[in-house]
Amino acid sequence: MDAILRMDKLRVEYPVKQRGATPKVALHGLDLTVNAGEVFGFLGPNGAGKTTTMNVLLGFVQPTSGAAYLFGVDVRQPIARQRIGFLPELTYYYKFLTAEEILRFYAKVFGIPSAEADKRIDDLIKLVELEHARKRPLKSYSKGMQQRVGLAQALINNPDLLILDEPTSGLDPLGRMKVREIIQRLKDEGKTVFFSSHELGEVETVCDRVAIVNQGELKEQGRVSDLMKEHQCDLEKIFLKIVGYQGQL
Amino acid sequence: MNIIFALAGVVVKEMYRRKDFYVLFVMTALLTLLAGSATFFNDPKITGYLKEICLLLIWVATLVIALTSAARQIPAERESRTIFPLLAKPVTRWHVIVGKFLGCWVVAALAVAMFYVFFGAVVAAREHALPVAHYLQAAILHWMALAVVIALAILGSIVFSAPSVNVTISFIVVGGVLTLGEHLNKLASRMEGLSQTLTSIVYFLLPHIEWAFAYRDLLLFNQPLAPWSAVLTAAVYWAAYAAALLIGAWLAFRRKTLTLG
Amino acid sequence: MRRAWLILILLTVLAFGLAAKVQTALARGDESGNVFEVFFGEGRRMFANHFAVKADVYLHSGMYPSIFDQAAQAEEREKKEAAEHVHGPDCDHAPAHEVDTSDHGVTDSNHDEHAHEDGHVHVDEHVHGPGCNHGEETGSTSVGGHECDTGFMGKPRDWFEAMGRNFKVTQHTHLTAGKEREILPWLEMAADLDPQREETYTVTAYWLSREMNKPKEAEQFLRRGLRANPKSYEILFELGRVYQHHLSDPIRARNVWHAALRRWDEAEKGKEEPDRVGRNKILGQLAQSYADSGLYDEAVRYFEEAKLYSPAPDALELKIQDLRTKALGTAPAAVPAQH
Repeated sequence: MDAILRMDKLRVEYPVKQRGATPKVALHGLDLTVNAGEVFGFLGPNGAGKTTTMNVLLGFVQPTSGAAYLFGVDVRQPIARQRIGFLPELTYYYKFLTAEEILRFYAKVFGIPSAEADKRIDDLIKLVELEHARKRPLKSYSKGMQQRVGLAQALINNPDLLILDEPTSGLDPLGRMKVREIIQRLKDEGKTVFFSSHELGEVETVCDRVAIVNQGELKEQGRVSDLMKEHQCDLEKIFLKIVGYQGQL
Repeated sequence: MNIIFALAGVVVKEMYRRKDFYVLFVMTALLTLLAGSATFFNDPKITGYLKEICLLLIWVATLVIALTSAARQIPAERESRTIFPLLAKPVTRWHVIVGKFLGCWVVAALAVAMFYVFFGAVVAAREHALPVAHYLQAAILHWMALAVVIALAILGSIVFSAPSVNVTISFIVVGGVLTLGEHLNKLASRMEGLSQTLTSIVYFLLPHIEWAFAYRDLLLFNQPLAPWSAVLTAAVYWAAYAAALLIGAWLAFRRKTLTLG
Repeated sequence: MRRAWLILILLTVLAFGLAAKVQTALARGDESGNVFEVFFGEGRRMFANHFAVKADVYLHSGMYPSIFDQAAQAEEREKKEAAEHVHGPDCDHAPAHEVDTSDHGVTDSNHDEHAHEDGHVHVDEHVHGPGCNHGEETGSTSVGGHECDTGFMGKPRDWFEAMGRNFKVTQHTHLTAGKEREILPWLEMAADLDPQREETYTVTAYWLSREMNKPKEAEQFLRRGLRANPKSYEILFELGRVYQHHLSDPIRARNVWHAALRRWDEAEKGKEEPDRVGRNKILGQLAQSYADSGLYDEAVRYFEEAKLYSPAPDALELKIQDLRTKALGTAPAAVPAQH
């Protein structure tokens, strides 16, 4: 299988402002591969290194050592992000623009020709069910509607890899269902999805493979069904065991 | 270039959806018309004071537009975290700097054009003259000088954490250049030792945008046109200066840590 | 919401505070208690001076030395004087003042120190370039084409300065052909801001009456000045000139000049160094007015007094002799009521 996303001994250290203090290690030589057409769940408790990994993949943070590749291109090169779509956890879009304008803006960023962009914008607005609000500025949208705009912008370039950061966080059950449906649809279309989440039930239902990280180290990875067979329990219990939960399981 | 134009387009859209621009224009027009309604010694032909007031208001208004719009662009992107979905696309920090600059500069061009058309209309109504070439020179110089101001504010927005600090410092620097810039060499010639050297260095390093500000006198006193070669030279000089400031802004922005979460 | 309330409270406090200040100031009933004084206090004088300078800048079509140019120039002049001009005990400068009997104002050969007493806006800081001779302009209604050299600018010191000159006024020209009117708004603003600045009224009246043929407006403006400065002999002197030379009312002019002499007595008589030039001007105009009306005895009387104040009494003596000769040849005329 083709590796769409690859991390080789990825190490990230954050400098500490105090003099003489040793830098904080966020990732300890992470090795990870995501293949084409997979839905990959990236799991871990808060502070485990999930966000740092996202930061590296999106080019926001430079690795201290090791490397990460998207489609075989080093993530430090902007072109590596040409075929990806990214949905952040919270809605970070220009509130004075309408949904249509935001999508048009991102289409221009990707250099999509105008006629093609028009068609994609129509399709995406239909997909996220925002036809009725397409000409309204985002500031008048509910959180769920804004998240759907986010999803649409992540898909504007018809990406081969979709990176989702807590995509269902803060959404109502209907919204979560919608996101799940969209992920399933992308999977059916043969797209690769890499997403981080705390919603283990959700991960269990949509992911082919998962990786669990803790304290910057990869603790477990594999097919969901294999892991469950191996540990003789569901994903939640596996997760809690790995992160060192001491309570009754 | 697509990315830069797309980013600039967002800045322009933001500006025309905000009320600042209109408020400043209406205020300038209102104050000018109010000043124009005054009569002095029953002489309706007096125009100089009106031109002076109007040009000063235009300068203040365009500086406010340029500085406040440029100063808040990148901090607003970081504060509202819109920078993340943006940089997650094949967009570099250089694209962001240049796109933001271009957007603000286009807004400045629209503002300058609008204000000078208004100024021309006011003067034509009073003096029955329309020196288009003069207005063109004034507008070009004004716009090119604003390029330096915008680039300076963008650099400031990366160096200083608070936009208010950046706007205040930028205003002081620009105000200082406009009023004192041309005199620093005279001041230096009357000094000695280190203070003379330092003043001379500041004089030679400053962007001399006061030339555009001084051009008001040519309009006020119906003087001949400035040589077009000088206008071109000044434009190239300011463009180079703005480019240097933008490169500085990019170098500073490149080192800024931006992290999700 | 909390911030909005705070701003509202702040504005209310500000409004009440300001109202209290304005009311107190206006209730004092100062003769000059205008709104600018209330708001700006003594700072208004600075603005008034700025506007007066602005008027002078306009008169010179924008070519005007900055404070830095003036400082550099003063330094240069000092150096030059120290190097070239050594005063000896017999050093005799040109006569300082002659009696002015025309409508041309004082012909002041000490021009550099008292620039523009001929009706230009008087600004002490204004120092002309070496090629600029305003003495020749006094009284002329138009100085079209008059150009000094680029005087205070000198040669550009560097490339930046040379470039900057492309966008500045570098020719010393004066407003002409009625365009002098452009200085008026600044003068009026200066008067509004500082009603006690007597010079503003006299200079404005000069331009209104002589250059713009608006003697009525000049009279009104001077009367406004008198209301703010009832003891000003300078304003009375100028008002007399307007009556004499522009409203063809010599009787009223002489009445005003007599009042000016009384004000001069009240203000200057007890002083160690009274304003001799001021009295000389009034006496000269008054005497000439009598002479022009054929009242030679009165004219001689005031020229005689003027001799006491004039730096050139010999010239006046000649004039007096001439008038006496004329008086001998004419029958005495009835002197009109003075007051």
